[in-house]
Amino acid sequence: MEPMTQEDRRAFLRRFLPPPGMSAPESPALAVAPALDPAAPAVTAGPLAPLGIEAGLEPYAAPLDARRAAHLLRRACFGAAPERTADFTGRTAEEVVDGLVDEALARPLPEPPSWADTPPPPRGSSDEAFQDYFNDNAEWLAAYRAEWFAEMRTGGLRERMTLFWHDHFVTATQTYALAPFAHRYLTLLRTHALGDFRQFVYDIGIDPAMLVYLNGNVNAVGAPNENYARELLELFTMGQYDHLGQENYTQEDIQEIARALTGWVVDYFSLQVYFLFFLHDGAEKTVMGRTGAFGYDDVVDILFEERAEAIAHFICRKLYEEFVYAAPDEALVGELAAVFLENDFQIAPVMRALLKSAHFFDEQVIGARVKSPAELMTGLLIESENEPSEAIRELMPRAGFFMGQWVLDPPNVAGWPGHHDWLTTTTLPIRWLVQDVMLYGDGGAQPLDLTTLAAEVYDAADPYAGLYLPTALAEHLLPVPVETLDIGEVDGAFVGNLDANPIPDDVLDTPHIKNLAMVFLAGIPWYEWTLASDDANNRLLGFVRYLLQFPEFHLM
Amino acid sequence: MCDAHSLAARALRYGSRLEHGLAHTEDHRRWSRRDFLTGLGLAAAGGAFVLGGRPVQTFARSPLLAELRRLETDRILVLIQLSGGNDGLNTIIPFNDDLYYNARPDIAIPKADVLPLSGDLGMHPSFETLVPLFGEGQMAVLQNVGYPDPVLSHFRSTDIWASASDSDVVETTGWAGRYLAAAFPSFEEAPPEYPLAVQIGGGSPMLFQGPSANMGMSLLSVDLFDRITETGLLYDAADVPETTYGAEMAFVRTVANDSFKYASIIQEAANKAGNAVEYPANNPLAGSLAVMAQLIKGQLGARIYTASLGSFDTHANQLATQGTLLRNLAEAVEAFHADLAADGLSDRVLIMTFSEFGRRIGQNGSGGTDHGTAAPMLLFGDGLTGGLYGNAPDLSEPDETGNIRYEIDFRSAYATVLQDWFGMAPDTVAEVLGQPFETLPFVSAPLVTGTAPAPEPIPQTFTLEQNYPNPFNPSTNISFTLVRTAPVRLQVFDVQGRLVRTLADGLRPAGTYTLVFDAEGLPSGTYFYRLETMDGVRTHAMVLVR
Repeated sequence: MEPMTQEDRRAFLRRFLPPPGMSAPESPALAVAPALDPAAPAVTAGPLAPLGIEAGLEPYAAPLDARRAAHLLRRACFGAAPERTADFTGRTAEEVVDGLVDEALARPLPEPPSWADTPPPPRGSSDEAFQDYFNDNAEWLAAYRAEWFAEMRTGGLRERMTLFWHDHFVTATQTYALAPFAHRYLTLLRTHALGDFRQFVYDIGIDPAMLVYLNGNVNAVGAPNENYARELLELFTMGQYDHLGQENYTQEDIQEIARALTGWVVDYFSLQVYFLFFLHDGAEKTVMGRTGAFGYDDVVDILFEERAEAIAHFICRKLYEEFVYAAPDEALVGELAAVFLENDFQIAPVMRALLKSAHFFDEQVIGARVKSPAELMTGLLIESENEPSEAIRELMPRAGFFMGQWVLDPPNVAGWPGHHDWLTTTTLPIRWLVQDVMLYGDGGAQPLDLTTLAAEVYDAADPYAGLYLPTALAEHLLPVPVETLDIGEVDGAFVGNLDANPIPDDVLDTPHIKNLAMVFLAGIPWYEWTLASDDANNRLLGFVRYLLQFPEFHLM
Repeated sequence: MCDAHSLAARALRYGSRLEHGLAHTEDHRRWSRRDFLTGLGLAAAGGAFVLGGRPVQTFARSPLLAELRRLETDRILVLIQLSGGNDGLNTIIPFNDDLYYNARPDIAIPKADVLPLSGDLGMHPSFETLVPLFGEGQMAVLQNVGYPDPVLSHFRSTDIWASASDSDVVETTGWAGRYLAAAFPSFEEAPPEYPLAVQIGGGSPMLFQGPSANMGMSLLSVDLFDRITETGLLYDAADVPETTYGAEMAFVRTVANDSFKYASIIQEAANKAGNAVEYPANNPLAGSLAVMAQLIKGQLGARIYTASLGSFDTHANQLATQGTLLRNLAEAVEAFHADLAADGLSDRVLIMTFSEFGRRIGQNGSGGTDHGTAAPMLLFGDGLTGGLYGNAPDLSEPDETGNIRYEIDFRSAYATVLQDWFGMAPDTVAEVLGQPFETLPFVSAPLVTGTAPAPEPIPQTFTLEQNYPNPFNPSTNISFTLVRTAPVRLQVFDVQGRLVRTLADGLRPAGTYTLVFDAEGLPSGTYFYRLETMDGVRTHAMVLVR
């Protein structure tokens, strides 16, 4: 193997540079940082090039192969459960995607936590009483984060969409503080996850978490606060410019909308949101050319009437970036926006169209996205068919924090930048560690049971399983074709009585099958492998650990 | 109106009081627990297994001090796994025992060919190069090593040897991993800048697995070692498919290469030293040992190395196969020993072979032997009291499967290495091995317990306090104390690991320092502050609330 030359490196880096005449958008975090961490990788995420593929929104016609079935499940449901992957294989995208969406729509909400309606002690209570409540509240939030991770594992597309909307309609417990508000907020996201986007926008703006997070609760007549009005337009619905490059709104629009949104307050002591008419500015406003004594409902209606195209494009672009590729294909976004408009801002039809599309299943797309920490951890449990131990349940939110994704507390109102930003020289070693701890257990937790996974991906009764199971595991756990991995030649040779137990030619002639088998067997005769032995799981743990350390495990 | 204003304002004030109280308590709980992920430093425990890595950049430490520290940890164990089950009877041969020749009419080693070690025992003729080592007391043979209720499965017995468990216990951690975890208690918080254990080539994936982290790293091939020493890279980021996902593969490989900080340490060690002798060609073990010798001479700092040779699973045509493998073993070990001796290091390195089992006393129908039980372990090094330990195998009373009964528990050999070679306290050894085992007198200069140089100095030379106030807006105080004058670096990072500010960087006299971090202009959220000194790294988190 030739080492990378300077020239190679430059050519490689160029792929990540913006096209001429375009400059990289400044991320807020970078804008304030005085210097880049020298440990950060040389390759930073500039604007990527769109995929440039022919396939559009027409449904992917061929029956799904295993790789595409797994691709769908990874992108739409956090991970490819082996049994489900096998079930989807050979069926059409139309059929299985409708199943996933219908399932998500029908999924009941989780049981509310016992503290969902427990308010703080009344005004004038002692500091001790407040402190006791804060302490409980801290426990509730920690448990609630863990609950959410647990729900992600089983919640399929509904929870995947919920995480997406959390990253879209951002709020942070660091600001609104109360666990009951967190629950109310997350419940709202779940309720509308595949529902009516207009209703979603209407409801989120008067959600207590959002009212506190973006200062809606202090937006009052005579003292307007523009924070929510601005983000409502810029980040939550339409963006500053529409798909044609036209400005969507003016500063005056924001000021006028802010006035229309006045009057909503959050009462921490009753956990209620109130509209107080005397805090509302009842005078006339002019919003996007329309004039009236507008209130909250009117504003939402005006946005969806006056900027329907812009909203449809903006949201569909974001869905594309989340579920397909970080660099949007504007033609496809336009097709999706048309679906969104045709369906009067219903989200489910857009997701059906996107996930069924030939574009989504194009070869270029599979493996071209960096996993988020939630996808990494939840995916590992799903793909290995394991329920989390108590220790792992507790671990996941905290581990997510260290990997840059503290759920319920995104870094700022723009959410997590995602994709390349997930993976740095700081977060990758943490990912290695987290995977290890999840695989082997930590502090008394049990190691994952990988025998079910092994039985699902390769016929345990096949006497040749010791040779082919390793490749089957790699194909299942890694999104890219196994032959493209940098496996290298593994030292050593197959051992045992090979005259009596000859190794099939295709194993010897296929480098990745051969090398993976040698890593897996680690000096044990291939014909001695059996899933039935009581220490089979140990051998699987060691090998899966090896697979998970391929950089490609962080792609999906 | 005014009333209403003040109501809303009060609600907000209470709100912020609530949230501050909350943020504080939750934050405190999280950061005061010394459990999983106590700080960024712990992530370096990912410096394990096949890749490993360190997130913390090598600090501008004094190279001289670092070298001295590495030299203090001066005893090294090299484990050579003879995979497949090496036939002990044809390795160390009871050449006066008729039972031996009767049981193996076709595959016994003729008495005339045996290289005698005593009046009754001798070595396989392939061990010719080892004769001088034995003569000089640099080779020891432990006889009839095994364990109660032996298991004849390759997989299971390999795991038993790697885990040091009883034969009816399935254990997921390895004895070497548990030893390193016990010897380096601060591994997770302040991991050393070098790998503690290195496996070259394939081998038991379990050996280095500790209770909460894998303690070693594996280089699956000598080729990979060559790539690292030449390029410092673990993965080829150029050889990827010409597709979008290929470009993303290049991205993740590049981050992995940059994250794998051991690569540069290995590269540095390997480039510091060469091999002083010619290693035999076409000998896979020799290639691995040549790499090891470079790393040891280059003062990598790892305490345990492993390599493997196989396959010894000689069900058929044993004479030729085992003869070649034993020759590989002997010639590789002899070259390795000479290479180390040339640099005066052969008394610091103990080499120990092991195999999952020996083989059946009687030959089978195809010129080979089937799976057995007890067998000799071979040890090499100038730190040994050489010779034969234990009795010659008793072939007159085999067990019910026709196998040799064990006399020395393999864990006695491990206990001796841990206690006498590495100087570990006996009760800790018992903890690592699950129960106490007798030691054997094969280490010529046992380290008296307690006099062993601390394997990893963990001096309390600095402290880093939780910032105050926390959460904060817009500024907070960060205090640290130095017991002695030292170079320090105090930096603030965001959650993505991006450097936000450097608060201190340079030599500071002993004392307590309080620095102010002003977060004006930074977004709300959690930040880390990290203090790096020569003795380690500590990290705390703090929360900026706007």
